[in-house]
Amino acid sequence: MSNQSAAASAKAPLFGVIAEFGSPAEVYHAAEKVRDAGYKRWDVYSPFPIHGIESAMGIGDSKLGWIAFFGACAGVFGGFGLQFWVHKFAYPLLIGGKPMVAYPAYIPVTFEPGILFTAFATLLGMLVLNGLPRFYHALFRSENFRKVTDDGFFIGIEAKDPKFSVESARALLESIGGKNIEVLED
Amino acid sequence: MDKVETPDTLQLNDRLAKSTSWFLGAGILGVLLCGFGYYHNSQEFFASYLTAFSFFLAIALGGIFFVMVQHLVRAGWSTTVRRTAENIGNNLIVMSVLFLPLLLGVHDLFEWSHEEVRAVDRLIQAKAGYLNEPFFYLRALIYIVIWCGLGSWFLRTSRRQDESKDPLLSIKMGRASTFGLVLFALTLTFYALDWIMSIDAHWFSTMFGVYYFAGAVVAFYSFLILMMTWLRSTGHARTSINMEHYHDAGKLLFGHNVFWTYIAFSQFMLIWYANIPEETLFFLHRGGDWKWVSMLLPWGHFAVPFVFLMSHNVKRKPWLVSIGCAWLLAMCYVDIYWLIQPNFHHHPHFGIADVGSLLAVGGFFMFFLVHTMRQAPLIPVGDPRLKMSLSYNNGIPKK
Repeated sequence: MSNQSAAASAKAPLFGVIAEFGSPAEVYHAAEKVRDAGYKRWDVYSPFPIHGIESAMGIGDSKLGWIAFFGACAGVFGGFGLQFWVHKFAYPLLIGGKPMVAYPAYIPVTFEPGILFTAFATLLGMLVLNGLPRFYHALFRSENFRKVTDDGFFIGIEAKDPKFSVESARALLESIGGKNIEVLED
Repeated sequence: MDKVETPDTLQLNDRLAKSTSWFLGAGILGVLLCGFGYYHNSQEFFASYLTAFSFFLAIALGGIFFVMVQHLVRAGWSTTVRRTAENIGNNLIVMSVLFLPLLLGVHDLFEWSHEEVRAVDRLIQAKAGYLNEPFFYLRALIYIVIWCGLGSWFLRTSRRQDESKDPLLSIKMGRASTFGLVLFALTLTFYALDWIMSIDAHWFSTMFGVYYFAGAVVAFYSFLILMMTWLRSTGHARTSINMEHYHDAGKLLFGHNVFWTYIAFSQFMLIWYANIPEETLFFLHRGGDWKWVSMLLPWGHFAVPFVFLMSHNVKRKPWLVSIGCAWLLAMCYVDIYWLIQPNFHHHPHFGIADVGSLLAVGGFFMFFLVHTMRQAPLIPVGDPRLKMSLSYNNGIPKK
């Protein structure tokens, strides 16, 4: 199996090396060692979320919060600004004896685009950060990887990593207890 | 069930228990100041006392609300902090004693209770079927009985589970929470209508009950986080109550503070927009010299804490979030002060009766709370969900 893959790697670009682990605890501790080995472009694959895996992988805070925040600001200032501009300049109209710029009345409408734009920014930001939508992934070349939707736990070190070489990645994954190691084409 | 091992101190130590004498001292000093305030001006005193009482009552009511909601949703994360909430809810017993002085102040506080007013006032005549003294006292008695029953029952049952480790007690408390929450909602709403809204018996708001509730829950979460910090800083439960619990309590505080804002603004917005004189009177009384107190609420109760508490980096730092909680707790007092006192003063007024009432009610409240905490472990050691709470993780990466 690995010989075939190694032979294939000579002619096609590589995705990277993946290895299987037996349990969430094993993959958790293996992730700590991959992190400590200094790899940057790699991932853990699991059928369900593993508590604390972010720390074990050395992932920092998600940037999604900031994207959502700027979406919220755009909605709030846009919503308020539109009403202000309409009532003050574009079409001043006296309503119910209130002042022209009766800002308490603007708050519900300011709130709604705030929520709407936050939701858009969060959804779109999530898709962009995750690289979605995607119709093809090199991992689907592996028969064994199908277990990831049931009871398989995997670590994949990608060829894009500056430290990557097939030999060193394979040696690391073997040394930390990875089974069924495969080299995958992109 | 296995015995859950934690390296923590779960019995109240002397360092914290010593504080009881300070609280007792504060309470007695408060009573003296209240006495002085009462002889100076009894109406002013009762207004101040009602303010302080409603504030601490809000915290205790928030305690039983939290306990019941956690049981109802079978929450795992909150188990280690639930005992503190149970202790706070049990304080409804001391609140029922502190309630008694208010019974002497009904004529000072409520215009509708005056015969001569009722004789000429058509609106108050129309409301007399509800706002009459016998029914008013009867309702107060019902609230007190229900509150004491709920507050003490949940603490007693949870303590029984400390010994027996019986998981069926958790199911029993979950079932009781369903009826309990209905009773809680009704009694809290009618307390707010009776004892705060009816001061100005001509005015009405259908949102008043939920407004008091929203403020009460914010006050409770602020108080809970301060208690967590106090317990931990005196060497209790340092691993059982950890940053994950701070984070979740902080999220709930943040969410409920936004909920308070939503309710407060909705009440204001509807009255302001419709512009009907009998409704706008409420905000007219809170304009003029009261305007800066009125403006303190949107800015100090909402805007500043909203920005301050937004980041999880703040919620997960005990001292930082505690500063926010102390501030919000003060704002919750301002909120209740703003509801009650403009009915009695044309200008914002904070006198000896206000200080005395806060010291008296707060002193006895804290004295009783520390006394309760002394009697049993500081976390529910027999709860079947304790392990879930101890291993709870928000998934925030460690730096």
